[in-house]
Amino acid sequence: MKSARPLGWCCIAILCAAVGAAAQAPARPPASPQALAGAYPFPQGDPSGGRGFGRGAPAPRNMKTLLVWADTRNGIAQHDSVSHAAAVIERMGYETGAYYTFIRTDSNIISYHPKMTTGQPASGGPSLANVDAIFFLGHRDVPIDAAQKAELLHFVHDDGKGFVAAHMASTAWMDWPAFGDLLGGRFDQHPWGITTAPVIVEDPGFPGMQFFPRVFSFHDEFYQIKDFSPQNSRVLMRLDTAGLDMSRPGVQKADAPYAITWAKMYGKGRVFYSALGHDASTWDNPAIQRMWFNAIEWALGVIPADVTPRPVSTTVPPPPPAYGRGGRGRRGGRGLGR
Amino acid sequence: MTRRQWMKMLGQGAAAGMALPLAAQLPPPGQQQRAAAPGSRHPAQMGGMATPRRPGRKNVLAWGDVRNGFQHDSVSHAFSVIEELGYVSQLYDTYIRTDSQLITKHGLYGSDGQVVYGHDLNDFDAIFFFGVREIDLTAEQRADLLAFVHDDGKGFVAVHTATTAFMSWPEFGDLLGARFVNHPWNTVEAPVVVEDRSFPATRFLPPVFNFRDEMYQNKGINRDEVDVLLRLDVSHLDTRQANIELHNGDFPLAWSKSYGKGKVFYCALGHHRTVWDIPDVQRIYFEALRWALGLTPGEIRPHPMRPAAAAPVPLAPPLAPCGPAWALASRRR
Repeated sequence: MKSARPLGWCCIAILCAAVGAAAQAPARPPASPQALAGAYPFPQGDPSGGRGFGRGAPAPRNMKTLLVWADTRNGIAQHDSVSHAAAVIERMGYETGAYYTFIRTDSNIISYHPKMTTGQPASGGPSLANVDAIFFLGHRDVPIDAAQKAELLHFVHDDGKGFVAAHMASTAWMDWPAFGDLLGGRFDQHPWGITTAPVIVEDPGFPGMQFFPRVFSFHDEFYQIKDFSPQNSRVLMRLDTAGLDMSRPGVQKADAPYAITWAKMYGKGRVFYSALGHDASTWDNPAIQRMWFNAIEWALGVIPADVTPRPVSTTVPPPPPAYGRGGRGRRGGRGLGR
Repeated sequence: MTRRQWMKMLGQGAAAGMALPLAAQLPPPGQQQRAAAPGSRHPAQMGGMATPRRPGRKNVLAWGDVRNGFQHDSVSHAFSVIEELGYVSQLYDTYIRTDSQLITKHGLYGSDGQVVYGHDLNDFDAIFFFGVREIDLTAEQRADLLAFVHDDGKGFVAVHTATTAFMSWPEFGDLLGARFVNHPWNTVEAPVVVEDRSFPATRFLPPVFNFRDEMYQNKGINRDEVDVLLRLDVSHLDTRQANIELHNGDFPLAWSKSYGKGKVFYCALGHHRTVWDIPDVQRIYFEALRWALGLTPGEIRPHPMRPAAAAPVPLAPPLAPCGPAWALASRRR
């Protein structure tokens, strides 16, 4: 994992003068006797007017609530990017006012009637009863019981809530077929490891996809997805196999069209998955951030999208001038800007 | 200035070691590099996912086990702010967890007992604790947590509800330095006296400032051992309420102390989400973390209660939102 920050020491040194000046700059008003009363207005922007929402009271009516659920307690190891991804998702909602976020790495809240660790009913906090969508960053065998599984399916299928899932989410619950139906595909290893590969945008009309070139090169750990059918899901992005070594061990020809991003309905609920997001710096990419932000807005029911399944294109759009690493056109390629 | 610009400034100041006025100097980059902690797992064991630690960076565990249901709305936003400060400054990597799996030095195990590779307490340099009430820990986990601070000399930065945690566990009270007994005025605006203006986390604050938050009554402070940094000035608040248990007017809001070889910092500010957008509050916790991580020196100087030295002034308000232009264009407020 490497830093995405291009600033060098000389640049920092130049900034020092400005920083020093700015940090001293916020002039504090002179102390006055009446400073006691009302001198510090509660910050604007809190819809509760500073009262707070208490412990787990629902957000105001015009605010959606998103649960970032990143239970990584089981499986090989937590991806280092999980916390950064959760924080990026939180901040996008907070800064825009589009949604409020609860970040949880446990699964107690995956219930309509969540319980404390003692078994008593929880006194507040997020639950399936009060969040509008889940952003799922869990992996492997997330520890929830059969009742919770049924409630999770109900949350999406019958309540029509949103389920947005990233990267390692497709490794979750390999032994639970209904979750495969919900998500639309399963992890089938990453035969190419972390590499740079061309990605084809199949549906530029889906919210968020318009910010990508029709074909772009990207550096990430690309998942091979199995148990995926374009008849059930709208393919938004797929790997261009022409730019990948298809002779590597583990590459499964049956996994064509190698979809890595898709959207679908599960009952009444909206489901979005993208395999992009292995490295923390991936989550700093503006195009990737917009993809997630718009996917969340769609999943929350704020913006519409057509997710009718359709066949995958047979022609590949003209390739970019050069495949480069995601940086800002260092080699003139049409990679994604940072 | 936007919030993100401010964070970048904080971060660059920290990285440069000189930009922020009054901030203590960092050790030169070479001295920050050190070998992996004794318990660090080999990368091969990580399945290529969790890198053991990045050179020159500390690991911070943002631990807020709220499985007991008393989740404050601000916890997730606080974690997000702390994560961004470390990410932008490149001083530390943050691991956000609302469960307590990582509170161990005896290996990680999944729910069905299988070995899970990843970071445990041996890999962390400090804990940023936003837990609440009784948290489900085994006796071994409790001993490991105490040893993490007391024997390993790691940092423990605790926030707001931390004084409500583990009421039934006396040693945790020794570690933290005080216990919560109610918030008699709930959310109220009152002056806060900065009692120690030499400590890194409070040296940039005005002598007295007005603040609006849910003000805690924290009991059991031993001023012979604890350096009280912030104190609530209750002279204009009703102190005759039934739930007032501190009758000497001494209501500490923030303090630093040692616990064995470890560094402990507590601050009660942070009940509301928006409190975490106030630049000075972000800096309190950022500087506290740097101190707890051993990146800046800071002396613990216990002292008797100090009176307000000046009339209160307001702090600078929260900064403008910092989302990208495309996102801010769709703001709903």
